Amino acid sequence: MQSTAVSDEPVPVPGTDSLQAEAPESGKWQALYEQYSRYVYYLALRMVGDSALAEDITHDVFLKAYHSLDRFRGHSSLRTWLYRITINHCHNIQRAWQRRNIISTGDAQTWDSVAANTDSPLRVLEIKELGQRIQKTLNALPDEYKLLLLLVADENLSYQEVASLTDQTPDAVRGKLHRARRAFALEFQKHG
Amino acid sequence: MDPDTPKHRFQHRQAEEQTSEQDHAAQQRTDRTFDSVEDMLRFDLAQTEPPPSIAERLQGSLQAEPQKRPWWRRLFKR
Repeated sequence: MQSTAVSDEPVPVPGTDSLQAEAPESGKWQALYEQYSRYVYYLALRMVGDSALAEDITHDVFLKAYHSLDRFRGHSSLRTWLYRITINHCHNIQRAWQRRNIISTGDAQTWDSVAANTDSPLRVLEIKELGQRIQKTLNALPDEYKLLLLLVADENLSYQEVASLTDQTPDAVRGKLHRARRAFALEFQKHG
Repeated sequence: MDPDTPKHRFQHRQAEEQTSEQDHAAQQRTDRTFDSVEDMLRFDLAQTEPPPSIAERLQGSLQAEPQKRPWWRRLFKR
């Protein structure tokens, strides 16, 4: 067989190669879960806006990761790979839900024409209710903006990785992010 | 004890004022300003713990799975 530029062979990734042979109850799996579960759960929670559903998604993402870790080629980081599984899972659930319910969160063009000052700091009086207010705000945004903001909020992800996860160029991410921040700021003030 | 004595009324007013000050202080403590949307979401992320029930459920699901063999063992399986 001739070698090609892109190999199908799994590329061992430091920290994950030995995981393939690990028993599920091993400390390595536990460490993997502890390191990434907060990020996976948070992304799922804010994407679908339902804690019970976010629990199911987090469970399914790690179960899927366990099943398909030997197909993880190391072209991306483990974090990015888990995010991709989470995003796909959330999209599948959202599509199934949207087929049953007609919803509208407005499209990106709606927000483009709206002026909002995103330079001013966002002031919050009640931290207790911050989560609910953030959720209401995100729910009102187009899914694309919501996802971009949630991914960029993870400081461990580069713009390149965010671009890869959202199937666009880093420049497109920067442009849309500017509009997403503006839309968030405007909507956030409404829910104050 | 007579609840309407001047001493009691004074103590009651003092207690009310103290509670009001405490409420105000608590509210002050929850005031927070975020420089950006990302900062706010990072704070929200840090406050959000995945429920322990997920780990328990996952452990149950994984233990019910047949143990995985390394890919090279599956590849050279007879």
